[in-house]
Amino acid sequence: MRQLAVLISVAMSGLAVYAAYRMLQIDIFQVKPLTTDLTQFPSPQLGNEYALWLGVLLTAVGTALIAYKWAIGFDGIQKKTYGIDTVTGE
Amino acid sequence: MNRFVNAMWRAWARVDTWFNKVYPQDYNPMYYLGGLANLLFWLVIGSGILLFLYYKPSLLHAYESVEFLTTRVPYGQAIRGLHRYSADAMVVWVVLHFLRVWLTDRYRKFRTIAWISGIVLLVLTLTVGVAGYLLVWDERSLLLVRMTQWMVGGEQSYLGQLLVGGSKITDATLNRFLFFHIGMPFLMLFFLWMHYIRINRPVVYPPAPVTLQAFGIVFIVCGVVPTVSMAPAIIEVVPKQMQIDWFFQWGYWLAGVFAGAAGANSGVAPYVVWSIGLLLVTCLFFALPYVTQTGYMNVVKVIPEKCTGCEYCYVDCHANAIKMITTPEGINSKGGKRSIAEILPSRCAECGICVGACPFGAIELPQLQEIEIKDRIGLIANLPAPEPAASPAAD
Repeated sequence: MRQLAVLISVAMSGLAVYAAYRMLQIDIFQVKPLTTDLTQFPSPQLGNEYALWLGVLLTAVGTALIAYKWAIGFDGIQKKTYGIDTVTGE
Repeated sequence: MNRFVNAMWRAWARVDTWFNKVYPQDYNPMYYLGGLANLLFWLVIGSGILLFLYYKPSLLHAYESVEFLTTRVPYGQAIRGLHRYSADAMVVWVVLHFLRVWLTDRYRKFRTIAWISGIVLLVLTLTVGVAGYLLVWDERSLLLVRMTQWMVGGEQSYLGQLLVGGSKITDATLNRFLFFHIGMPFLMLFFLWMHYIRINRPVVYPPAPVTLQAFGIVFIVCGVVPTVSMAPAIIEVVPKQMQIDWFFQWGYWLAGVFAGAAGANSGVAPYVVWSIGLLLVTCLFFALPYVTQTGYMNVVKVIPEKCTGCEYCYVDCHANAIKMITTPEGINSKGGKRSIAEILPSRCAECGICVGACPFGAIELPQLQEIEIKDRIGLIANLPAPEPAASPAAD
């Protein structure tokens, strides 16, 4: 369980860095009048792509923090984290 | 009814258990349903202010201004999507919060005010959301306005004219809906204040990781599913179909179903059937805490002679049921007037937390001994049972 939590935490941190990289790739000052289909995806001009990667970044950081909490708080002997049995949930 | 509520309570407990397997207990989003709804409320407000800067509330320019915002303003569509999807998510959390409070029996006695204000907030949330859809002024907006007129008795009815700003759709109509959409959130702030007022240290916001996940998911959805309008509204042409946003517009669908069911074999106007139904359901939920009230059985009592005015009970009481009052007799350690705890019976949760908090034995639950309370607290906190007090004979 602890190993899985560490793995998730590391993977999510990696994903967060990748999302930040993708956000930096977008020129946020690029503004062009659109003539294209509004449902176009991804569309830097409409902000879709930026919103997507920002969302991925936030979700990944949140999930990494939660996994980190599991990793440091999980008691491998009692199979409990903060007094909760991880098998029965009680 | 009790069996239904019990079954639902058990189902809810299972969901909690499942979430506790995935999340550490202090990050379980099911424990922050109200906090998440509150958080999203501020996200809706923030994105709404940005949208309002570009919006023109007139029949001629409303659609055009929304399209300009969506297609020409940098990141306009993303902000519009943020406004829409955070409002949708807010409805989900508000309804889950409502169900949790109802099914876990936490709406009576000292929680009555929070329950009543919560129902009002739920109704306001849905109303504000529907009013927002009318502002876009596309085919869906027109159909919703027509359906609203029909639901309140037609164009000539008093309510119809009040909502639409006259018997015909004019610029005043959009101004009125803009008022509903922006004015009502201020009313929501008042009811939010009422919602929290009786709770000591309310959990207004969830912890950071849960907040990040909630925001992140909303951002992902507004990136993946772009928000678009339907064709512009033409008043003379009533559209036959629209895409329903199930988070806000289920009421219109329900009204159609009720109207279809009642209209065929009765002389009663369809809107009477659905509006009475909706009113009944709302009134039922308003009355729930009073109908199921069991009365106060075991309100705590303060023993003034033992109370030192330390305020431990006052700080620990989650229901704000204890206040400190000064007494004419005696002085405190700082030379000021001595204060003692006083119980406000109508707010008491009869939980015994204050009994456990008092180191001087100055508070008691008349029908429960202190040793039993500490035993219960020990069970919950997984602590060893307290030692029974030594009897004078043993000394």
